[in-house]
Amino acid sequence: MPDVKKIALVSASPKVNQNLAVSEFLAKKGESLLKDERIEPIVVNVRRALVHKETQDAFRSMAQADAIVLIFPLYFFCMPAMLTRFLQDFAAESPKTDHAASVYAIVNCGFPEPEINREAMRVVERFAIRTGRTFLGGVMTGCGGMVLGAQGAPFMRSVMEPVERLFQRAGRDALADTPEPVQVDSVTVRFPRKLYFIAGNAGWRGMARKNKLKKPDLYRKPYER
Amino acid sequence: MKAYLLSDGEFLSKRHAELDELVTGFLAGRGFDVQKKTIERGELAFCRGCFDCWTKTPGECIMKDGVSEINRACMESDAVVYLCPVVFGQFSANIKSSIDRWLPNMLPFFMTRSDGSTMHPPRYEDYPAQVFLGYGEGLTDDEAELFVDISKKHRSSVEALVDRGDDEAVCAALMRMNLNRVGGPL
Repeated sequence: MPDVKKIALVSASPKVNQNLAVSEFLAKKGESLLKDERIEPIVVNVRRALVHKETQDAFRSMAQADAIVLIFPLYFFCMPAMLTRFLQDFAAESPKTDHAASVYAIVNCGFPEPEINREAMRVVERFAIRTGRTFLGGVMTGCGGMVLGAQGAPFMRSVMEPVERLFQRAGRDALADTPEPVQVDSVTVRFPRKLYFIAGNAGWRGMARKNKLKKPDLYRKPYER
Repeated sequence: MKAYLLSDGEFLSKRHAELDELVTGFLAGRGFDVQKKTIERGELAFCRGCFDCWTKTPGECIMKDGVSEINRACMESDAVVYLCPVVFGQFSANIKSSIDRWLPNMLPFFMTRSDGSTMHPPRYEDYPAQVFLGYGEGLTDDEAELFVDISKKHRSSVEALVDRGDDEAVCAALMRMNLNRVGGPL
């Protein structure tokens, strides 16, 4: 029997409908890419674990993993509160890993520029250091809002290929004596920024119309002094 | 003038109490009427990224768990100070919940800042001054620097500092800060 390495793919979108969550989509993609006789990928869904009070199982999977891949959207320039809660509690329960383990991340942002994710990636690095793990990098993506809707389009390759390479790299590292050096890729969709803004802004107005709101309603100021 | 002081109920350490007293005294000395709020674990739901606060009930979160009171108190204040435990170089979970759920106070839509980066436009003409005061035991320089970067790098009109146990340094930093309402894009 080969020595099976465990990789925890931590899917951390706070969205209620996880079918609409980029993080869950990417975690599932990672699971299918990594699964073989020497690698056991385990998808840990943060929302499900917290809502169903199953964090103990989730924490066990993470504590036992040889690698953790945190996959999350950027909220106010860092991790969403839901993932912060999850990692804060995990670190309180398992302050230091008892075996060699590494951490990677995929951070996606709705804005076009991927560099806005940089501080969140640094937070992941701090989490790794604080829990005795080795931070090995990840992928920062822009235009996250397009990932699900346009996943098969040629202009999405600039995002999807680096994400797939990260999963493959995590698999290689888990099996190697020495991991590859830290690498953080900064990628976005090859799509005109202006068009992205137009489509995005039209999307907000369309959602409001579906909710029977008129354009001026979008500008309400309920807390005006 | 009104100030709103937010704390995390999970991190009410001795140093928190000292900072609370220090900041309250400082603000009172500057003529602020200080209102306080401690956010307890589980008190605020996590923002779930539904965007209903933009497209269904514009300006207000649809989850009725007390965040509307927090957002109203923030928006009616001249200054908001977050006494913020630093966890992995960022905000603690309870404080981050209140920050994530500040989203209704912005408009949807994308716009470009003067530096070329993207932002959501402001919903209001002006906003309270926001101060993020980080604290924690055994913080490294990297974590302190990261906390300030997260708070300030992508936002204008926001102040941030990390407590290193020196009351005079905290007061001196507060003295240098703008504690009046700020207009324009955040």
